[in-house]
Amino acid sequence: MIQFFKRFTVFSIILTITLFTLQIIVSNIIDNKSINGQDNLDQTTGKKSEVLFFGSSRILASINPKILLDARVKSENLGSSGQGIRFAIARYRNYLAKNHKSPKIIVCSMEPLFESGDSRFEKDRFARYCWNANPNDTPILNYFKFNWCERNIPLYALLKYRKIWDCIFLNNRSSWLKEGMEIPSSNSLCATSPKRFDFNTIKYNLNQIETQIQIFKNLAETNSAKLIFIQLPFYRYPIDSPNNQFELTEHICKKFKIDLINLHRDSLNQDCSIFCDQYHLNKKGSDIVTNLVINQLETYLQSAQRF
Amino acid sequence: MLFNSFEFLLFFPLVFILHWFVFNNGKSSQNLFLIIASYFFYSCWDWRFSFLLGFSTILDYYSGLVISNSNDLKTKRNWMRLSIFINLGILCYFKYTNFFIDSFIHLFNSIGFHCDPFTLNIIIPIGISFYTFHGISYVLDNYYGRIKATTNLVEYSLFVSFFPLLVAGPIERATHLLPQLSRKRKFSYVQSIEGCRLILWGMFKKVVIADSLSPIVEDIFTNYQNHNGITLIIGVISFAFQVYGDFSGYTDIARGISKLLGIELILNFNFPYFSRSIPEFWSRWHISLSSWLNDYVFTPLALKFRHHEKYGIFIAIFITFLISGFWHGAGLHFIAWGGYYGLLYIPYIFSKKGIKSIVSKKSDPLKASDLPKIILTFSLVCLGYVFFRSPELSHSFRFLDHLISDCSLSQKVAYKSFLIYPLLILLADLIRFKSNFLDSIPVYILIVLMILHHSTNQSNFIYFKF
Amino acid sequence: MTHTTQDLLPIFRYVFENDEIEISETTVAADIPEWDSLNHIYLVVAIEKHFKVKFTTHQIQSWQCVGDIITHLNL
Repeated sequence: MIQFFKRFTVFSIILTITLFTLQIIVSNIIDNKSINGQDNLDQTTGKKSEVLFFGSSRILASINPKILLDARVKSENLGSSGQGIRFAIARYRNYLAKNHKSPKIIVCSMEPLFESGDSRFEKDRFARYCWNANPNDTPILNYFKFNWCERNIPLYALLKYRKIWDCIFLNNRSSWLKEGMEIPSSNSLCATSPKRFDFNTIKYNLNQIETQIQIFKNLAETNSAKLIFIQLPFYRYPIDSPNNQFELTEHICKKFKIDLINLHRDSLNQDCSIFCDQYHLNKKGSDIVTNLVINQLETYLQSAQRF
Repeated sequence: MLFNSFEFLLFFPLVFILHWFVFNNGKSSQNLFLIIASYFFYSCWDWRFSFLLGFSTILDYYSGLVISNSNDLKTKRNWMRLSIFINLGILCYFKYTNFFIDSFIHLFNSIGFHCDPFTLNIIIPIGISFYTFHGISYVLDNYYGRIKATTNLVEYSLFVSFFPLLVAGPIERATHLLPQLSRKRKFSYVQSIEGCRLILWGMFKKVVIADSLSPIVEDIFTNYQNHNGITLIIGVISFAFQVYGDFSGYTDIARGISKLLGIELILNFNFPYFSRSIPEFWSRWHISLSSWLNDYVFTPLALKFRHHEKYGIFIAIFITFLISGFWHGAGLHFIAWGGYYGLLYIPYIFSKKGIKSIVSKKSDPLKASDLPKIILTFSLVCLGYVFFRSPELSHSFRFLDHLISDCSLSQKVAYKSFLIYPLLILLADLIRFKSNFLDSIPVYILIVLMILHHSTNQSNFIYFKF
Repeated sequence: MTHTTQDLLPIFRYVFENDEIEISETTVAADIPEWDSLNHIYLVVAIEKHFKVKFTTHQIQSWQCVGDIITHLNL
């Protein structure tokens, strides 16, 4: 019996040391680096931005901070694929914890149709923060519901979410590191013939969305920031057709007295050359939309105190 | 709780420590503790069915006593029949009621009598297919005088409810397990290390191999219309390794856990995909079930029909395989799967070579010249899996129909299915031969890392639904 | 007439197609590789035909060794 426990203990110790060692090596490799672009929790520390952008991949691949910088607007694109306002709140809190001062303008995409807010979506991208987590990152880990094992067993989260190879070889370095956004494809949707999207298949909970909006608005006001919502173009959906869920955004913004940058227009929606798929703008579309946003933001920035 | 769950990771070490350090005074305390642990384990699935398990246990225990102690053959026969009737009745009610209802409705509708579809809201108790078979084999062994009934209810209860084999087998025999339970188990270092080894490799087969193949198989079988014939073949082959990795992995874990508690369970798989014939395959695949069916279904049937010579043998084999298929699930596709194997025995039974062609040849060593036979046998087994894996019979035929179409090879899936996973499964099984290059700490550490790496592929053991 | 293992030996050798088989009263199925469930059926049929007897299923199923076969033959 003693021999068995000895051998089992030796194996457990060797296994633990191996996991610890590999975790330390990997942590050193990825220290202060963004691997997947969206895992940029440390890369926005001390940036003194004027504008933050939040939302899903539709924001992540649409707003170009470099163009904004050329227009002398310092901004960060903190969009995250598959995420909505709930993640935006968690991400904004993380930014505040690390910067201690909020930018003047917070722009968040508000589209009820795309408010999945599913905390499991793209969870793997944040697995790198599980081990030896920074207390400021804990709310993000809580949002994604990482469990005790994932946070405390070295290397477990990286293995489980299959991020170990990305971390070791850094082979998934996103364009976000260099460009500040996920550079979209240059392909044009005109080359294909997409089908009309069936909006009736998407369910959303308006009550939950409105609750989150109130939380976000309160958080922004507490930090003396102006919260603005933005609605991006969507391919081939005419504004005046029935069941226009995109009108709901205007209604919500009026209800909560939040300004809306509404880019959901026929002139953009029906131009296949600015989309790479039905949901996402291509490079051309991204440049156009970014410039439109700059025009709208100038009004707000002029009324806010600049850095 | 599943074997590969966090709850079991807490449960089993506690059971292990209590078993060897607290309740180690004698066999009675060891057995009593294991029964409590087993019923607790079972109750985690659904505590209500613990009563059913208890009822089946007491029924068979008492039947065994009456049969063993009675000198009157008629009394023995009546109690044997009563026990089997109740056990099978429980099994049929919980597992097959809705199937029979659906079948009758379909039959009436097909001949013009309209019936509204309805089914009863019956939950299938976990492991019912296994523990009822334990009980039936015990009663029959008593009836035929192969064993004397135990007078120790604790030992018998543990035989039926021992938690490693309670939920998905292997199907143990009283002649093999009861003698181990009737003596105090002593801790054995060698046995425990072997147990740990089996658990690790079993988890590897289940988590790394079977669960990795699962999404591929699911996609191919669900969306077969969108895949070409070659991809469908790859899907079937992938399923062959998925089900083997899943089931043999589970059995290895069960055997490993039992070894850690000082108990040896029977081997359930013996390199089945190296079989050179269908009869040999069934002597290597799910050995506990096929030997159970052989002893308690095929042999009595074959004896009953023995005067019809080869036709009697064929009918006995065919009915046995139909029952085997039906045991796996309440569905026509399972019955078709069983019937398919029954038909495959025809050349063996009716060939001029006669009996010798059907006799198990697993004792003959493998030769290079056996490769064509191995490939042919494996192909026939894979063809059967189309029925086994499909959700219903009509799906199987549509799948087969689509399989004939032509298209380009899905290289990545082929690479995994033909090369990587079969090699990994072979490696995992070679561990049975202890003194080889796989028995080393670095390899075991690598296995743990691979299991953790694949641990996001959470899917149930296939045989749990049986 | 009392039967012995010598009376059964030719039947065993014929059914199992192996002239080197030897049996005793304590021989069990595990001792002879060819003696599996299927051959057991053929063995029973051959014994019944040769000795012109008919065993019940209960008798056949209760056989543990060659001695049990002889016991029932001599009943």
